[in-house]
Amino acid sequence: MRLRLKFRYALTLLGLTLTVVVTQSVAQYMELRSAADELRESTALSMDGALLRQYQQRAVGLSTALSTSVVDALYRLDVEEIDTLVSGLSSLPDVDGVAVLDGSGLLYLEGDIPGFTDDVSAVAAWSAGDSLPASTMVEFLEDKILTSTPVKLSGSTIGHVVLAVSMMPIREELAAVRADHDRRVSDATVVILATSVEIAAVAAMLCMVLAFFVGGRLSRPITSLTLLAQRIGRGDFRMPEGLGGPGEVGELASSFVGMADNLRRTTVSNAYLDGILSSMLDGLVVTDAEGLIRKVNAATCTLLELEEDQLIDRPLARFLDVERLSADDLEPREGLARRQNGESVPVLISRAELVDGQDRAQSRVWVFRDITRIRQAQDELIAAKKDAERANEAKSQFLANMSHELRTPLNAVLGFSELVIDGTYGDISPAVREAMERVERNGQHLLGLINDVLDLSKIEAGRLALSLGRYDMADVVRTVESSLGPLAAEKRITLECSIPPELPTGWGDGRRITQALMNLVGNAVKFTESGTVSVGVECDSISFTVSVTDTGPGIAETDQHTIFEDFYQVDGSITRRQGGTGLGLAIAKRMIEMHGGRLWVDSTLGQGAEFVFTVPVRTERQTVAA
Amino acid sequence: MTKRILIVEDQEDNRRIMRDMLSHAGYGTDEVTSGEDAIAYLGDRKADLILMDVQLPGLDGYATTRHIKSDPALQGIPVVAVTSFAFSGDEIKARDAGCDDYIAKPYSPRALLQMVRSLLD
Repeated sequence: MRLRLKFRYALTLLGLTLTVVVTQSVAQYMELRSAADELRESTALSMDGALLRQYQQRAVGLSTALSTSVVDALYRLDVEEIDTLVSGLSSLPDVDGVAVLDGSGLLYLEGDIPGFTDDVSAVAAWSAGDSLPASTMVEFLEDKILTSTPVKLSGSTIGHVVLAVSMMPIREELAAVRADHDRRVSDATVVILATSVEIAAVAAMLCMVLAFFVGGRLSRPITSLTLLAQRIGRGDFRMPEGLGGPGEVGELASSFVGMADNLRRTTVSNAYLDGILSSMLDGLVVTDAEGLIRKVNAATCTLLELEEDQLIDRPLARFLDVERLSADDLEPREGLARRQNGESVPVLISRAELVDGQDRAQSRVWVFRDITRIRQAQDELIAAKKDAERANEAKSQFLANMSHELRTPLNAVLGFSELVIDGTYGDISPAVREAMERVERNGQHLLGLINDVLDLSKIEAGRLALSLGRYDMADVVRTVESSLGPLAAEKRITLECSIPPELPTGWGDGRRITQALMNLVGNAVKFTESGTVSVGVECDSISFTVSVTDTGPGIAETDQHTIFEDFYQVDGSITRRQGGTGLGLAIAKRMIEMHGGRLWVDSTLGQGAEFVFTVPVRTERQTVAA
Repeated sequence: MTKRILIVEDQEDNRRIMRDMLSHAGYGTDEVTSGEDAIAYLGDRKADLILMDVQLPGLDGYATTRHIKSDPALQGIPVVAVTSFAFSGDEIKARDAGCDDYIAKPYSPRALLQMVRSLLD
């Protein structure tokens, strides 16, 4: 039987109190009892003593009186008188027997109590002889007092008087007193018991009240916590204010509120869950251990064009191509969802095991997404990418072809210009010479542009291959110096190159490295209005580090990445003013990177720029730039 | 005695530049427009140097050079390859074919003349 906590508290308290009351009552009773018994015993003893003394005195008195009165008759041996005296005495109700003995033995005896003769004989025996006592002797027997009083005449003992006084009346009286006492004691016991019971009853009543009160007080917080727990069980996590307080129950309540709060945050109701599921754009299905559908969301019904009750309890495999997912393959896979009308919808399926407490896979949740549009978009993207690649390829091819086609006539332009200038066709006037030099200079510029475009298109088409071989970095720098020295001199800029002695022989495409350095130094000279362009080379066992420092306008930090992009110049007007395609840095960067090196710039606007590149001393293999 | 230089080039403008340049410098020139013609020419006439365009219709410049260099009677004639443009590997190809030197279009006539002089003197 399950009792409410309050009643259990009350009962426990009640039991405890009753035990105390009963124990106390019993102890009191026992104490009273033993006191009464003691009293009775002591009373009885004192009464016994008094009575015995009283009877003894009486017996001694009677015996003495007889011994005095019988002297004369005994002396005279007047039997008649003795008889009268004895009869007179033995008629007393408590005198059982009277015997008068002379010096030689029994003379007279009266009384019919059993054994009196023997008693008298015994008294006669201890009365004979010298040891005969001078006064009355008293002997207490079971139910009588025996007295023996010497009969003296003129100082000599002439006989004895033996008297037996019955003690039965005393005994009876004593018994009566005891009985009366016992009755009184038992009456008192009843009263004590009754009082004890009354006290116990009152105490129990008080206890009951107290127990219910205290039990109620003790159990109230627990009861309210129980109610809260039931509310939490129903999914209601709202906690009333003011829970807690001091003591263990208070701590429990605080823990409880904390727990409820945690639960509220981590627990979701079915309605909450359904809300989420129905808002999903993806289909969601829960299957049991047998693969039967247990739950579906709205998106599933929409995608499969079926009602929920047409899906529940059916095997998922009928609607979704799930065989391809192996047991422990939880990666999302593409599959097909099958509609009733035989249509297939491409879907992306993901799956998760729903695990129960024993870590045993019970059911699974499947999420699938209609990827028809994604597929279409993908196909379109792939097609578009292919188109773009084809177009890009065509562009690169076109540029390569165009460059070639452009250079053929340019060869003639440059060749004939030079021949004319060199006087191959006869002397020319200064004006013609100057004009021809302009033709040649512009032809060279055009050639530079074409070369850049060609290089870049080859790089982009992946057709630029490094031609690896030995090269001398000092030669590279000197080639650049001699090519650009005249331009620098023309602009009154100092071009200084410092080449350390005994550089190791490089392995790479010397022509491309030259081209990269040419672009860097060319730019530096081009953009520097006054000051110095200096080229420095450093080398360790692994790589060359080449720096080109100028005192030009510098490059803002925001532009420092974009300057390496194709067709880019910080200021478009510079391209037009200074010439150049804007491809120089992009080409240089790719050339260097194809060698496995790096090219970067370090510059502050207004304070010049330093372009630095590193290339391995030995380029192991060609790295194709993207 | 005037040195004779054989120009193997299919384009008229380029032939003209070489011819004008070399004549002006005092060399004698002969011109053919294909590899086959060059081999035929060398069958009955001598040349002191050959300027070989590599992009030729039919037998190209490298194949023609290889043919010349495999002929003991002709292999002593210096051959300068004139490549269409400076593709990487052109130099290696030229050397592999047996060319003595190479120059890429568009070339400077001055530079080519210098190269010719250094090979002939």
